[in-house]
Amino acid sequence: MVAYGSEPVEHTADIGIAVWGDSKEELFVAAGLGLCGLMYDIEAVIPDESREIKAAGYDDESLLIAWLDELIYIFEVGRFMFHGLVVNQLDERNLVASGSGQHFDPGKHSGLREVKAATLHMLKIIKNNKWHAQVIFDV
Amino acid sequence: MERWHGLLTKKSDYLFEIPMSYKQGMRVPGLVFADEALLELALQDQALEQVVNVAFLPGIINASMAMPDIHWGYGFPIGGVAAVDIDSGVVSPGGVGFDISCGVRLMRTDLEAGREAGKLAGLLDALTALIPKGVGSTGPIKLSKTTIREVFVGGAKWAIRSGYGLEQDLRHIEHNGTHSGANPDKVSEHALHRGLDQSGTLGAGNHFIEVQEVSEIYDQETATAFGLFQGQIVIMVHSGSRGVGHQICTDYVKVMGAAVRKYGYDLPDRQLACAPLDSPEGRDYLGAMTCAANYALANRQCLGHWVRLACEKTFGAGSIKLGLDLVFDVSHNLATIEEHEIEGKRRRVCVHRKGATRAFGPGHESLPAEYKKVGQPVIIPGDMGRASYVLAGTDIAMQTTFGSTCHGAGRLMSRAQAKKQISGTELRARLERQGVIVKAGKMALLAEEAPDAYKDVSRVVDVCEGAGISKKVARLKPLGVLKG
Repeated sequence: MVAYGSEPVEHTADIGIAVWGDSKEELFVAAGLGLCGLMYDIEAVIPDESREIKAAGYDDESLLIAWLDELIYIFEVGRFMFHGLVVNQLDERNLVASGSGQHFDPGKHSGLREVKAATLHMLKIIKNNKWHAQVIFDV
Repeated sequence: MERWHGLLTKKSDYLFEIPMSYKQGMRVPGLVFADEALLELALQDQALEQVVNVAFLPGIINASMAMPDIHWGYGFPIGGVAAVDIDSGVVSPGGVGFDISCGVRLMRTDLEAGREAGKLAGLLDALTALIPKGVGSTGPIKLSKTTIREVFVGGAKWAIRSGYGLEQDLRHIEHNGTHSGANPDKVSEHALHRGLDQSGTLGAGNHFIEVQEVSEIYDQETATAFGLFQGQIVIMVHSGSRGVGHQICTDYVKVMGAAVRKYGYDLPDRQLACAPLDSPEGRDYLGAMTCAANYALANRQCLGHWVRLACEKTFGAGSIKLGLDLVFDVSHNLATIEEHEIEGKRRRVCVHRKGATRAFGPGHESLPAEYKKVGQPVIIPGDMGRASYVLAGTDIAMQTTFGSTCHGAGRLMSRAQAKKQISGTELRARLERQGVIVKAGKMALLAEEAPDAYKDVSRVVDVCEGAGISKKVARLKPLGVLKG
């Protein structure tokens, strides 16, 4: 049974994801992969290379947004797509993760959509027996 | 989505008021420009609660306003207008949006759609070849970390001096093509990098270039002043500041989040995060925002240049012979310092327009001579199946909405619902049966932008006219659309 995952959330103007995980680390991985899945076809990405990703915030919510915004930046500027993500270090203020993937070539690969940013809109992180979060992206 | 059940008083057929007594903390009332039908749509999400929340902003003057195309946004509603006092007021990135200075320009020609029907497919092909568009696309303009700073400061002027377009275009762009006060030092490295390869690109999502026909003239004198005539081919470009704007908004939402605690603001929604205009955070945001605004102006100027090239190639004549000129270029996501008359006195204010367009009335000092008598052109993009509009600013807009009006139709349906209703391929076939040529990079994205996913822009502009905040000048029928 998959311990973490994501599904789309309806929004009139934009796109959201609801994500869950057994641990906070898995939640952040699920959110990252959920976002990547909006931008490109993760399944089609070949895990050729590894990249490290760092993000910083002042609480869980700001850290989640910073993490997601960094993934947007890596795709848009770094032209890198991830097939998988692993969170190596996570506390309330800092995250260090790594992921495997390949370079994005608009001539060869098909991006699914442009995501402008992760927003604070309806942002929720809840912990009951699992970690849950909801994030809306401005597209 | 829960329906809004707040307090509303009908002031006229086109105006509703949310009294300050509705929620403790409102500094001004809410004013909603809508008719009963559009109000009913607005009540179906929490957009009006957002209008109420904006009324909490320190220094807000007169009212928190909602244009007829209002819908739910981030903190501010889309279609929100809020003016604040220059000395005591705050600036909020949420009142501008992620796509800073997203906007539209309209270019006119001397060509008649009826005569040139056979060449339209060729024009769309030429535009497809010339316009950089789509997810992850780049164009021929490659900026360095030095030259991007020139774009941030120069705006459309930079583009013209770099060979994109004509000097005469500047008089038909807001602020003559360059916003003053840009501070590139306040733009982060991330934002800078996002902009290096995106200059002169269309983007994706709801950005487009559309070839249109002027299908109806409502105000002959104003249409003539704008260079428009019945049956004419015109071309509309909708794009913004790309990743630069998105990143600047992201960066400053964080800065403002901390500023709210520092300045002790008690706001009902953290997405209204703001800082005093006259504070380091406020000045830094405005300096960076202005860079993004200039980047957007340069972007549309470059896109306009390639529109000219596509027309010259298709119709076998130069721009001057084709009568290819810029009608006007407007932004619909911006905060600008302006002077307005409030209770008989001229005051400097900062007007936030988020999904709202500037609509200065006749006689305004910023208008070029040829538009002074009739008012500022306002370009309203509709959806690709129905219509777009050209409006003009009015005295009533100057008196009641700080010279503002709607920006478009506003979405009605989520992207997922839109895709369930129709596929991109079916939609393209349907539009082509209607006589609209469609060039789209991604069918799935096309489906998300289906006409049925949007409110009817004709209703929106009728209400703007009914309320007196802009007047209808011309209706534009889509002939061909290019999307990323």
